[in-house]
Amino acid sequence: MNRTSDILEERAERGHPRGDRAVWSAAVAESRFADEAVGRRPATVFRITVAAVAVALVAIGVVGLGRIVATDDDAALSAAEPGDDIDDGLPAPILIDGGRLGPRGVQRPLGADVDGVEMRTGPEDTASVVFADPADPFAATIVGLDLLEGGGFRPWGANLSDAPLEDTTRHAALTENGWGLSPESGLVEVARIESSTLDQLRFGWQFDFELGGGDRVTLQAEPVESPGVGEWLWISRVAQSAPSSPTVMAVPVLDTTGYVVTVPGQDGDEGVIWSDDAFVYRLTADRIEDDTAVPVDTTAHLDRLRLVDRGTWNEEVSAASQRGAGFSLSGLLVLLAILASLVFFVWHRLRWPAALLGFAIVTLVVWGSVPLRAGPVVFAAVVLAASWALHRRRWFSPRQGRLDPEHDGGDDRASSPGAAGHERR
Amino acid sequence: MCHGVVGSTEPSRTGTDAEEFAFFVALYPRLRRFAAVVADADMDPDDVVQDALTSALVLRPLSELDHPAAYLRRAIVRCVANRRRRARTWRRLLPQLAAGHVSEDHYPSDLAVLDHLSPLDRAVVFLLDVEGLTGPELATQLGVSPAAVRKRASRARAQLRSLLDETTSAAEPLPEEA
Repeated sequence: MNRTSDILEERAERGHPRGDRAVWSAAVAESRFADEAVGRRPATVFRITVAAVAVALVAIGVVGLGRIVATDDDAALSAAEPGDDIDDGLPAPILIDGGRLGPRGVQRPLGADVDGVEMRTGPEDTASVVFADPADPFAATIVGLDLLEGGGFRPWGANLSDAPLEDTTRHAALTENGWGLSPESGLVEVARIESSTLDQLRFGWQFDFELGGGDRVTLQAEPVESPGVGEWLWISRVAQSAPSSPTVMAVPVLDTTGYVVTVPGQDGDEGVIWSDDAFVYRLTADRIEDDTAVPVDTTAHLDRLRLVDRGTWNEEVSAASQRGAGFSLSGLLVLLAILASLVFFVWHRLRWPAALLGFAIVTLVVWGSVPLRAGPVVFAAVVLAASWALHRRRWFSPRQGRLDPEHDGGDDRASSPGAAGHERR
Repeated sequence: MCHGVVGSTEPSRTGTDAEEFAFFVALYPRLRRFAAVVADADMDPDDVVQDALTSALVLRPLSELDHPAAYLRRAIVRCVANRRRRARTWRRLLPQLAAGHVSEDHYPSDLAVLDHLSPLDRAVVFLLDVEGLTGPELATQLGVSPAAVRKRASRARAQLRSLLDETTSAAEPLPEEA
């Protein structure tokens, strides 16, 4: 045994000691760097939290990707490929000077049977009859009677500054065609919409143009089954939903006559309405102020409308759709970058993923048009910060682990003397 | 440094650096000797001590550890085991690259036989036979049961004797033929 001791003693004295100060200095420096450079295996709760955040972000990404695919596969877009000369089912090729269709700025009818929701309770209306001055129907008093199931009517009106609606509807009388206004009212029937309000609420095309500086104009185009009643459809909708009777005024639009509808006491207007043989169009304008769309004067933008050839229009519509898909993909990439940052940041404690995370969040906040909202990301960041704080404090770690290298929860299999001693020889 | 020691927090340094350093100075000579025995011949003992100390300082100041000497010894054993495991992994994954790093001892000596023991076996024998610790003390130091210490010590000593005998017989000159 003396020989063994001698060997061990000789082995213990091998090499040239670096000295306590050198070892101490290096260890202190490394310990202060190690937390960021090397990191530790997080606690189980921390891992679960991070995994939950990761799953949530991936789910958001998958949903976003699904939306992109669904949008791009829409058959309606295929009808708007450059070079096509298909007018059937498409509104007039109208663009805005100085404006550009924004990402996802084109919305198409999802189907002929997609209707609006019911706006009111009570008896259904079966038809709407519009009465106005025969000389200039849009310039003076307008009264509409929505004929209800089982009899009765629901009146609405426009341009009523000179005569309250109650005064006019005193002339209502039941005729062989249903309710109407007697000749004493001075108004004649100018349009009859032979369908219920619900049937009239059929979604059409919508084009959102960005003008810069927060200004936007929106062009809606709805197919009209009964020519000549398009404008009355929109006027009746506005009149039925507005808190007070709107006013209607003629304005020139694209070599035809349109009508700007205004509700007294409200900002801006309700838009300019005109129609052609197949569609009724409504142009509205607003300005984004503090994330709120404030209606502005639509007539100020009428001279920017341009009727272009179908090929140019198709190219613009396709480009807008591609921009929308690009924005979606960008948002997805940002989310993936955030996810990667979270993983690397919490797992390896590196600074550059933290910087990347910050960059991604700033991108989302600044880049407000990213389709996937920043809310989930902010939530994820808050959760991350909380879990990070918990992890730093080791609240969920066994106290013994602080004092015993065996309880490190680490990935080193030889983390205990027993394990270390079972190395293969 | 050694990975896997618990405690990600930056050390909450209650004592001054000077006091902590003085604490370490008192421990260093024995730790260095211990590391020199436990570490393989191709490992620098001071590197191992530094790794173990780093893992401890990441956790908290030495003065706040319950048994700093025991902690550091166990950390040294674990560091050496981890280094050996990593070296094996590299040799397995990149045999050609690792081949250049395998040190063949062209001049076998008694010291070399220690490398045939595991780090923990070397630690047990060293602490019992050189440092003079008792079995229960060693069990506490290394965090194993006294029975495990006895069994491991007996086995390690027998293996060491066997290895030394083989070395001796190999070094003896062949008897001259009559």
